[in-house]
Amino acid sequence: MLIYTGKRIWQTLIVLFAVSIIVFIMININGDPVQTLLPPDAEPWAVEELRETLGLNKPLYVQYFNFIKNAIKGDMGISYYQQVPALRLVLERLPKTMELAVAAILISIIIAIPAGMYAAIKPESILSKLIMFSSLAGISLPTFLSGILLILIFAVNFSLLPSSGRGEIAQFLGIHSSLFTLDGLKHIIMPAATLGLYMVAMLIRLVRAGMQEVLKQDYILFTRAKGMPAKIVYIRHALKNTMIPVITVIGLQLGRLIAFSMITEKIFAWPGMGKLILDSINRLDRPVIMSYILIIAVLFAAINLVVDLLYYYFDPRIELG
Amino acid sequence: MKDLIYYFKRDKMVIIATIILTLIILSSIFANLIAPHNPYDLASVSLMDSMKPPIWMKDGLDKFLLGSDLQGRGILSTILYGTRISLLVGFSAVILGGTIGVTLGMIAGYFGGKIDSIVMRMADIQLSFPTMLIAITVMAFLGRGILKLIVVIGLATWVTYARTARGSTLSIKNSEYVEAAKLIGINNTKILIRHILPNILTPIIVIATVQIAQVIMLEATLSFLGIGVPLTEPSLGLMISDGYKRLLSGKWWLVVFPGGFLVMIVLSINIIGDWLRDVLNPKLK
Repeated sequence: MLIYTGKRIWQTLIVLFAVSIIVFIMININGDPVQTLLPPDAEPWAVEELRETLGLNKPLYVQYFNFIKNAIKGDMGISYYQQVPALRLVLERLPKTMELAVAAILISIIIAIPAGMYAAIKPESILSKLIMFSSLAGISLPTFLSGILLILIFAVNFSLLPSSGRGEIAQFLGIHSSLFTLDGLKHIIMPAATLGLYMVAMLIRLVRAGMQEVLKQDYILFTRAKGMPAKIVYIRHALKNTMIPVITVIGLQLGRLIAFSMITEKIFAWPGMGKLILDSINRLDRPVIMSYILIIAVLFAAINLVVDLLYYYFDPRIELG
Repeated sequence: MKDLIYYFKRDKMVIIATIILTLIILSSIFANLIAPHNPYDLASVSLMDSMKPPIWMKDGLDKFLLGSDLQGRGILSTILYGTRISLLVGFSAVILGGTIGVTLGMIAGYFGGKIDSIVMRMADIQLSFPTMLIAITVMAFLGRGILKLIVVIGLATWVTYARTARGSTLSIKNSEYVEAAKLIGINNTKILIRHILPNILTPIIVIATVQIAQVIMLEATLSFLGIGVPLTEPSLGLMISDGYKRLLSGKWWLVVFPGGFLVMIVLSINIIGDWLRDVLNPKLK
C-alpha cells in the first residue's frame, strides 16, 4: 500500500511537471504582454525597461527555471493588470467557485436521487419515461444555453431572481458565504442550477441503473417477502447499496464542475476563479493564467490521487500496478 | 444490418430523431438554395431591418419568419448558414480525433511494450483534465479560427477513441485469424488495417456518434465565449452569444431559435447514439 501510494504521488509529480512545461511554452509562443500593458505609441526605451522589470529579456529556459523556483515558494509573480500577487488573486476567488460547485452538487443530489429511484422502481410509468427523456435532454443542453434560458425566464420575463452577482454575504461558523442570506440564496440558485443540470441528468441515469441492478438481488426479494414495507426496503436497503458508485462519480465530477464553472460564472457574473481567468485571458495577464492553471492542475491531480486511493480502500481486491 | 433495420422500425424515438437530423443536415447543406436571403451578402442586409421580432408578433416583417438580429440579418437564414459551420466543425473534429485516436490505440494495443506505455501515459495525462478546460485554454492562446477549432477539438478528444481501440485490439490480437495472417507473412500494417480495424469498428462507431454531439456542444461553448469561430462566419454558438448580450432588453428570439436548433441537433444525435449502443452492444441492454 505504501509503495503504491508513493508510486502514485511520483506519477502525480510527473504530470504536474509536464503540465508546467506545456503551459509555459504555450504562454510564451502567444502574445506579448508588454504591448498590451503600454500604449501603442510608447517609446522604445519604455518598452525595454518594462521588459527588464518583468524579466522577459532573459532566455526562455532561464525564465522557466525562475518560474519554477518561485512557484515552489508560492510566488507566481505579480498580476500585470492588478499589481497584486497573482496566486493570491486566484486563491481569493477559489472559495467563491467552490461555493457554487457545492451548491450545484446539493441541487443535483436533491433532484437526481428521488427521480432516479422512481424511474427504477416504476420503469413503465409515464412519469418515469418523462424523467428519462428529460435527463437525455439535460445532457443535450449546453451549460451556457441553460443559463441563458433561466435568465430569460426568471430574470427577464418574471423578474423573480437577480441575473448577476453574488448578493449579500453572511458569516456562519467562520465561513463567508452567500448561502446564509436570503438575498444570497436568490443570487446563487440560478447559477447553481445551471452548473448542476449536467450532473442531474447523469446522476439520474446512474441511480436508475444501479437501483435496477440492486432490486433484482435476492436480499431485496427476501426483505419484501418477510413483509417489510416497500418504502423502507427501497431507502434502507436498495438505495444504500447504489450509493457507492454515485459518491465516486460525484467526487470525480468535482473537477468537471470547476471547469464548467468558467461558463456559468461568465453568464451570471459570479466573481469566482472562472470569471477571473476568462478576463485575464483577454488581458494576456500571464501570471494570473499560470497561477490558475497550476492551481487547477494541483487540484485535479489531488482529486485523482484521492479517488484512486479510495478505490483501493473500498475494494482491496483491486490490483495495484 | 437486417437486425439494425428491424430494431430501427420498432423504435419511434429513433425514427423521429433521424428524420429531424436528416432534415437539419440537408437544409444546412443546401442553405444557399432555401435560405430566404444570404446573411453574408452585405447588399441584402439593411440596418433599417435591425432587431425585428418574429413574423407573428407586432412589428414583425414578412421577410423575417423568425425575426432579425442587430445587423438586420434574418434569424432563419443565419441559423441555416450557422448550422452548416457547427456541423462542419463537429464532423471534421470527430474524424480528426477518431483517426488519431484509433491509429494510436491500435498501434499501442498491437505492439505493446514501450509504444504502449508512452501512448497510454500521454492519454492519462490528458485525461486528468476535462476536455472543455483543455480546449478553452488552448483556444484562448491561439485565437479564433475554424481550422484551429477543428484541430484543437480533434487533439483534445483523441484519448476516448485511443482507449477503446487499444482495449479491443488487445482482445483480438491473439485470435487465430490474426495469428494465421502473421504466419503467412502479411506485414503488420496490413494486418492492422485489413484484419483488426474492421473488427474493432463497432464500439468506435458508437463512441464517435456520441462524440459528434459532444463536439458540437463544445464548439458552441467555445464560440459563445468568443474563442471559437470568427465573427464573419457565425455558428449557432456565436449567434447565441450575440443574443446573450442583448438578453436583458427582452429580445428573446435572438437566443431561443438558434438555441432550440442546437438542442434539436444534439438531442437527435444523442438519441441515435443511445439506440446504437443498445442495439450493437447486447451486453449493455
